[in-house]
Amino acid sequence: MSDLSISLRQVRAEQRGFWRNPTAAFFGFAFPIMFLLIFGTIFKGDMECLDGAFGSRGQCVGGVLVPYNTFFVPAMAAWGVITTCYVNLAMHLSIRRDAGLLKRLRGTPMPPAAMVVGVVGSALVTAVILVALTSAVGHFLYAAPWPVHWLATAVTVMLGGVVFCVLGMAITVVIPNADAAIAVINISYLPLLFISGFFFSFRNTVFNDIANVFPIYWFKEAMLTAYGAKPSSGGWDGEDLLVLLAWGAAALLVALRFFRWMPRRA
Amino acid sequence: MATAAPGRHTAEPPSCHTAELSAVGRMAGSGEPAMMRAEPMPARLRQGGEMADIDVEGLVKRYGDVAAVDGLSFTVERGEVFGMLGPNGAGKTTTLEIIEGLRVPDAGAVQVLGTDVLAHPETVKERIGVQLQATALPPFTKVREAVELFAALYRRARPVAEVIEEFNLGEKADAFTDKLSGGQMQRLSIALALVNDPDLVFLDEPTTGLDPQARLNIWTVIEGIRQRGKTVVLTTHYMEEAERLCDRVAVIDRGRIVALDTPPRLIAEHAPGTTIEFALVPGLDAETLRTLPGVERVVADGRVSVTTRTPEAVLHALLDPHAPWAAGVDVDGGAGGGGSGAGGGAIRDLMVRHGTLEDVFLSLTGRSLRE
Repeated sequence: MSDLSISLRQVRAEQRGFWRNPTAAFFGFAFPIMFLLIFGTIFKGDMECLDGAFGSRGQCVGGVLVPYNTFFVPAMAAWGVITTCYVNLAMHLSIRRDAGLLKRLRGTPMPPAAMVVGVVGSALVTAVILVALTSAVGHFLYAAPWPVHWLATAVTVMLGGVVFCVLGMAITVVIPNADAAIAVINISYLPLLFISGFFFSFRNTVFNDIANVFPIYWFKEAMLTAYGAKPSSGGWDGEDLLVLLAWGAAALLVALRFFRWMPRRA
Repeated sequence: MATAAPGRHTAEPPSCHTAELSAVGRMAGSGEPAMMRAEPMPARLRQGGEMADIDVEGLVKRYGDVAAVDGLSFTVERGEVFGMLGPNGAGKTTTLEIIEGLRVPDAGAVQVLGTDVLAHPETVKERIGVQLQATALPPFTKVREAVELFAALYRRARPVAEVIEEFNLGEKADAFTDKLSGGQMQRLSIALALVNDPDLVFLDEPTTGLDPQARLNIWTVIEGIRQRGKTVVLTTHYMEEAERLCDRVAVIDRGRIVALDTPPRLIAEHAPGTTIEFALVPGLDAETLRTLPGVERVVADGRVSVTTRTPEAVLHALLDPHAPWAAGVDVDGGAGGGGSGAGGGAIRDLMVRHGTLEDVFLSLTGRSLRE
């Protein structure tokens, strides 16, 4: 079999496995959608001050004033991509590494790249479905607009998806075993989600400076721009995607150098 | 404790590569080449200038300060069932994983099917079948799908239906793999190792954790693999398994081969004679036993095991009703019975048997296989 057809088979097998485990699939999807429902309901009709802060009389200082849902739907879609590509993929690989499944695959002539393409491809498929679902829920329940720039949205989701998949592979390097996986993964990204302004934006120099280092913030910005929540020409802001790509390249180097197929010796 | 010094039996690195040497002469501890030649060669062993299926030389793998594999050298011939017998942690699995191209050794060379594994692992992986110790299958996968998935990874693969049929998994073809019994799971795991019709099959503890019925079943499967002319390398810590299945057995302890030969010859050399076993009794210690006529070796390891070539005489002395330790001895119990429980001092749980690979291991290392 050619490497390509092996990869496609792997994508199919991974997808089959994902949807056959409805509990895992549901909870993989649940977080962004759940928060969309909760925050979407609480802040329905509110305005959000992007890149700025509300002044004492409610005016948006130094930023753009948009309806909350216009901001929140792309933010939750971005979280969905991070969940499926980064969190789920890192969990998936850690568990399979611990179970010896990666080692078993290593005992076959399958090229490592084919395994990676299978896992990444499957995560991207799931990510696209989740982004579509988030956008639809936002649109029909909270009257959020559909993405304004379709091409930019598609490119941003795919590029962000790939980058967060590679980051997911890189983070497995510091995950000692499957039991520790969820703790390591959550601590590595949940705090950043808040200080990157996924739920509401805020001005705090220290937190903003920290958030601006990491790809999570830049991915959210790229999604806001592509969805049209932030003004742009054509849905692009080159800087966002460049920072993402740089993080992806760094993560790729780490993964190539340090990725482990074998479970840690007992 | 009268055990042989392990060092004497350590495998010597081969001095040259001639085929005669690789066929018989490199068996560790073979002090008497002339005697070896007098015995018939196993029919499956090839003679002449062909290469061995596996040729391992000076293999070393360290984890920190511990040498998991400490200078292993051996060859495995085409069509042979080669066993690696040793306790947990002896280095069997690590050795296997290096040969399979899964781990990189710190030193040594490994040729598999004429190819240098370290240089061309993918070439080797195409032609070998691997079954790992922990049965690892993708979750939420059906038996047929698992076989299809693995078949797709090889350039040359056998028809999926044929493999499923051969391993008697037809009824379970549409069952999820996590619904299989231990024995079925293990059959599937071996089936996946054979899906590419490999020349060489590695089975890492294929029957560990199985019930006796399932174990017998797997033994039949392995014998079937051998009959199809495959070379099989298996690790085990069950001596019955090694005795029953293997043409040759490497006894491995602490990363070294302490002996390598056919099971009968290992037993003849390292565990000759008859072993009499019983529970240790007051008034009868190892020192006393060694003074009995005909006793060659005494190991007191919870139970006492006495090795002798004159079992009748030793038994007579042991069961002598006038012996100091004989208070309340129950002679009626006979071999394998014993145990009257009438006061202390009786010889209980008496068992008389021929030497096994377990005794070989005990004799070579002073320890039991399942410590």
